[in-house]
Amino acid sequence: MKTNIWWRVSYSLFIILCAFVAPWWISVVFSILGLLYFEKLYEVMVVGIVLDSLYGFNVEIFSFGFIFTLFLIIVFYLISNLRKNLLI
Amino acid sequence: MRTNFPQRNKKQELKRKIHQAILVVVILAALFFFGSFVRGLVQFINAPISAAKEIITRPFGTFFGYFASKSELVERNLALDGENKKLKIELLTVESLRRENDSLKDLLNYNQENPNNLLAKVLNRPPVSPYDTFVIDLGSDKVAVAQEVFYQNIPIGRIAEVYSGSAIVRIYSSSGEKIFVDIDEDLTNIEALGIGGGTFRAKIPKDLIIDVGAMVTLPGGVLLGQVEGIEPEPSDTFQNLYFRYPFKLSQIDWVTVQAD
Repeated sequence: MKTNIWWRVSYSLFIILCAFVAPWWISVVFSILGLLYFEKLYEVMVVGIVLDSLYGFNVEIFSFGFIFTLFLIIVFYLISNLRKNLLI
Repeated sequence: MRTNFPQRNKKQELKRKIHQAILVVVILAALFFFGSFVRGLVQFINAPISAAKEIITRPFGTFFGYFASKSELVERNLALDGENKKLKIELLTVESLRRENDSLKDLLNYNQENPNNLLAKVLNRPPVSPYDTFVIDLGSDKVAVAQEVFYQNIPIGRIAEVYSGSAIVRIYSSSGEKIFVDIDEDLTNIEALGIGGGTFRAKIPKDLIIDVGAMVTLPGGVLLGQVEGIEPEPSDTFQNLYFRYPFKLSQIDWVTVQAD
């Protein structure tokens, strides 16, 4: 599905801004929705990095504290494959 | 008719997957080695964004209050009236205790308020932050890791990380945090576990009888909350007590950081 580049840029800025000002789960939900709508929305990784940098010291896996980033990367691949299989 | 397209597509697909994997490895490696720089950068960007958010959203907080329904307001008014009467009675007791406390402090020459304590503005608070954490506007030039943070003289957490212009405070109710509390003066040094959302859980033996509403204090005597729920564990000899801070974490705007 081809989407307008400006729409994609605006949406990316919106979810990144959400990571700063909105409750954390809102930016995660919009990131997942964005992944479903846009093809390869790499910007969700920035959302993960922002959330982890602001709050994400609490949980660490092998002294790696970027858990939201890791989670969104996994979701990114899962949804990318889902999109491909659904031929969106 | 035979065509080579599917094979070419497969090759392209594999190439694309390898590129994506390399990208992820590069990002994760960069975060692993330069994580503290990235965190500092994001914290630096966060300070002006949070300040702007505060300026923009503050007028709307009062504006939307006008749209509360009338019946809801009446109901709330009645509840507050009842609570007010109860508090007036309690206040009489508190006043006499305060006078007694002041005179005892005078006798001991004890100064509770440290004038060197630092006042900090809260930039991000729950529910915006996910793990019961605050971001405050004091940086590494003023505060250090492990300094205790207070709200209304109640210790609420410790500084966990510091950056150039901000610091992250980990609240004691953050999941996995442990503190020791006294419950109703009978039970002392009970370990309470933070479970998030300003709530704690303490495990005590089933044969100890504690009522809902029992006072929970820190060992120094500072009120931490009241027991709000008791849940016996069917398969265990223990029961879980739940209590929370007497204020909402989402409403805290200012905190004090204990001086060294």
